[in-house]
Amino acid sequence: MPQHDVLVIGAGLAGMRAALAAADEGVSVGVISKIHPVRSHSNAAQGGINAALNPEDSWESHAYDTVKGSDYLGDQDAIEIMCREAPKEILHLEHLGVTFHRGAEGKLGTRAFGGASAARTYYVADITGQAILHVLYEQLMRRSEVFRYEEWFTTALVQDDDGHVAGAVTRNIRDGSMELFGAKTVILACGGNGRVYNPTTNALICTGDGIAMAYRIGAPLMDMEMIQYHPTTLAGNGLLITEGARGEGAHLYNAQGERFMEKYAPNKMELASRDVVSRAEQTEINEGRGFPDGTVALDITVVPRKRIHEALREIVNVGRDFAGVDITKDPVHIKPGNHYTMGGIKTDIDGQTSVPGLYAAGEVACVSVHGGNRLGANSLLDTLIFGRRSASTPPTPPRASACRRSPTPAWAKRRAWWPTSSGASARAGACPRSRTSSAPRWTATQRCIATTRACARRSPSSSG
Amino acid sequence: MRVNGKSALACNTQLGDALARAPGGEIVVEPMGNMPVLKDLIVDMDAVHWKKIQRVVPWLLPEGEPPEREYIVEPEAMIDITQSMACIQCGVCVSACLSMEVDPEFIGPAALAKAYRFVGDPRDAHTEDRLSDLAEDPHGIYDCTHCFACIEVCPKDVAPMNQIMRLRRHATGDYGIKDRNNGYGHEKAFVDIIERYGTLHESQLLPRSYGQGSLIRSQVEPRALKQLIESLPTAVAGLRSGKVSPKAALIHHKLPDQEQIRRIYHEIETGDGERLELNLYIVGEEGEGGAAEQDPSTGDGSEASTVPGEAGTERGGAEQ
Repeated sequence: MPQHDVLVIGAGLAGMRAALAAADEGVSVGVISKIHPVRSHSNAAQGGINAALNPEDSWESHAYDTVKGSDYLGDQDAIEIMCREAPKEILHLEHLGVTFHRGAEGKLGTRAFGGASAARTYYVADITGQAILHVLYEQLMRRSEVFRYEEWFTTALVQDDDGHVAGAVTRNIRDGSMELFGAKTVILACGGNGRVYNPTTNALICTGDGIAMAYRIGAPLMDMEMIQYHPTTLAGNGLLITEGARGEGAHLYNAQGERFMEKYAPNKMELASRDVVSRAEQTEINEGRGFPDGTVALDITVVPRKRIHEALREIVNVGRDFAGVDITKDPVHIKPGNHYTMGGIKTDIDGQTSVPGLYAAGEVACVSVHGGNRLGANSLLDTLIFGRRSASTPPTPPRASACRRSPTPAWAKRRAWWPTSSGASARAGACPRSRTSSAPRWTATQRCIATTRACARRSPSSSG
Repeated sequence: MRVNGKSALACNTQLGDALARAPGGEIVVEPMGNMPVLKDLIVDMDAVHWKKIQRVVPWLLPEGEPPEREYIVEPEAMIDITQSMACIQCGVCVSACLSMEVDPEFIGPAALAKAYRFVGDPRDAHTEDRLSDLAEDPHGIYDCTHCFACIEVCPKDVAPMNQIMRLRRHATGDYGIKDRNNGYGHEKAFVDIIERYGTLHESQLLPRSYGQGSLIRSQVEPRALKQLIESLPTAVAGLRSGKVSPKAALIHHKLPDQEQIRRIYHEIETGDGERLELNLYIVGEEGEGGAAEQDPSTGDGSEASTVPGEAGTERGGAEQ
């Protein structure tokens, strides 16, 4: 049975950020993901990530926009933490290697985003999520001490007799074998459940596994009714057209050629917050001013052609491949579509759920910094800030007696197909950490000594 | 996977298009090439693709402690490497790579495109180490045969081959890395031959590649001599089949207006030193030639414009 101090389930931005933070703490980390980490849905985040990093901007302004954007339903203490820590997190990413696009003088460049009172969205063309995801994966490849279990599907969380989370049951998708992982702390970072809606901008993988697993062991969910509809999803298949398009200056028109946002948000126009724009579009469509296919038009042709190619490259491809439209020449038909689950597993500001030993971060969790409506480019920030915070609390191990007992649930023991040999340790290498060691913050030397000792006394049973 | 023998992403292949191209009206799907098949359509990407990615040291290695704020970097540099950042690691180029079919140890298009992402990143402090590592590796940047297969199949317009050519230009032009694979000499031979004759004088290629422009000098270079002897069978085969005659091999005709070619060389060499790197993220400047060029009514000018741009505007880009 592979054993880790911290077991991260999900390897999108929240999961990988948590894994890196836990590795920084010097504890043994395992990352389980049902797909290869670079296929995670964080990939789909196009527009950017918010932070009040410019000297003229302030975290208070960012926090105010977020609170207001959330329809005053967000947790203001959590929002304060997120907005205060955002600039440091952006700089950290930049130092790790994220290729943020630059403005004048070679400093980090920004673009405007919906619901924000300043241009504070940092971006990499329209592949911001992908760029950050790949850079975090680069760091995971670099950190050989982090165990990666790629394409392992987690089916259930395991608790000890005291209700403390003690691990997870998983299936190795590659060979179909089942495996039990032991852990002192489990961090859920498995994304949202957009796939219960159709159409949705969410990928096929966003099936709410983490929310379901936590619910089944009694973790309370929160704000599950808060679902975000993105204003610009492609007619027919619901593919996302980034808010960055409007950030770069694109306009919305109804079938009568009116720039209808003048009626609904005369100041911010197309860059009002997402719920406002989505509602406006749907009102136009419902009142018969939409196109016959139940859409309105997004006109990106007002953005200079060079800028479109530089900053909205993916959208050009999406328009070409999936709508047959050259967005640099013609408007594209769009409508509001399911996009984001604001709710999720209820956590505190350190990602802790009410089940001992269980943490959650990212879209699977509800801190809640998004309240009734998430601001564009706040989701990447949410994953990174709370991903890191959920891993920065030292794992509190279950009681020693509970830990020594096999956490294999009774139902599992009854099954004939329960594996006797471990596929996990064969593929990923056995975890050298002793099961009963507590998790102090070790220096590199101490860690080295401890690992050597643990290896020396590792019994055949602990390596599976 | 491969659809009708061509590497592609199934998720953005339209069924109608695939059917139209299917011989005999039946779409044939196969697992990706160049990777061991685990089962059915599933291949082991860890064993090939990710191993090769790991080979190019795929993480940023800046010098010293990070600054208090961000690194100050030219805006164009970040836009330039966005093309390689756009890679989704799908492995389609690896599947299509013809060089890898011949040499399974070739680092390959995806990993080399990833390598360019760090070489082109001004924050990285090990540019020269990376370049000389990839140039000296017998399965490195000079193993690419310039066949365009990866560019053709890439679903994200990363144009991996163009990134490999950029690595070469940095290795030769900027750092003058004279590698043991003789990529440097080979490139120089092409450039010199075209400057002199206007067209490729094939029988001069090998001696010039290895002997700095002279048949006699190449004979004193032991490595060149070995290469010359090894390529004798090829030369003999060429003579036998009549592909080359002894006369054509020794006396190569010059173009009538060779002066024009020299003028191009002169202009490039005495120009402002700015190397035009055409890149998908920088094309489409209004009112410029590039915009007109990539303006066909299909709305799909991107590929059309990069390929001639990359191959045509840069010195030493279109050989090997």
